[in-house]
Amino acid sequence: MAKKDQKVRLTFIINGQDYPLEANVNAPLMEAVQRALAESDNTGRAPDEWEVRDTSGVLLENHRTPKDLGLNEGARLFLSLRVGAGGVDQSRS
Amino acid sequence: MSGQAALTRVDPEVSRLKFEREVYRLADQRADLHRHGIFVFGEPTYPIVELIFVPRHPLQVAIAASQSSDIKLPPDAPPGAIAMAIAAVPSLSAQAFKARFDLTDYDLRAPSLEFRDPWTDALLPYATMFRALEYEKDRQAHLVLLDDHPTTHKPFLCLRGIREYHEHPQHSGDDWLLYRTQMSLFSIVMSLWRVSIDLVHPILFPHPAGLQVQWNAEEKA
Repeated sequence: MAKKDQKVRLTFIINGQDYPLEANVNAPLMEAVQRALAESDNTGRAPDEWEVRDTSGVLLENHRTPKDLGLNEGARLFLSLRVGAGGVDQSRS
Repeated sequence: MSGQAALTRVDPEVSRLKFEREVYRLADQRADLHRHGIFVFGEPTYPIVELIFVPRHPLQVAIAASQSSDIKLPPDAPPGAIAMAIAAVPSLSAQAFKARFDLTDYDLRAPSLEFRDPWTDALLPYATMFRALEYEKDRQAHLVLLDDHPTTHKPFLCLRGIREYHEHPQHSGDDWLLYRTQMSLFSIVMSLWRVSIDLVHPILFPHPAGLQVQWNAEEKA
């Protein structure tokens, strides 16, 4: 595979702002996450306190690579702080 | 609202600038919001932003399975248990709702959130409104839309980023100021979408006394 083909352009959406970057398709997604957080000045919390979801709301595992995750050129990914919730433990009402 | 809570704590001009920044970000992400069935309602005017959330999952209906069907009860089913089948009704889903965010004192305080009827603008009564559920692998599904907040006495979303969560006596140790630089109205709106639209599936069950709606959470961490 040519070197150019080993990169994929991803856009991380952090707090409503786009942060496009090139990611190595064979490196864990966490590497791109860390760069996106640094670029957006979100360095106050550990990267593992953030989560990445695709446009369908599916949580992406950061240790997997863009290639494994099937991320294509131009993919938009929502990077947000884990929200945590109170609430009550019941699945219906 | 108590007299203390009604006091303005941030210079309104500062809060207004931050409000405008949040509204700009919502406008900038309009296409993504629309893809999720979220629409900014009208022209946001400080300190209020209203959004319409349109549910997408079809209503499911539980129907008694006939004895000849392939659906069998497990051996340990209690006496009198009836096998049920679930059928989707593609033309029906939960009702759309309006989320009304109040950014007074933003971002010293988190955005406040109310749920309203998009047609009448009336507050939604807890008994008949939708349900919001979060799903976490460790904790499984749990209800995050609760009734009767101790301060507002209205239904409220018990989720980080929401004023009613951070100012609830049970969450006094989880202050909004710990998170405000890493959260935004956009991220809060997307969290609301997850727990109220993406994860929840309404199922209509026949019941001896009539019909009952159950709101099930998709096991999607």
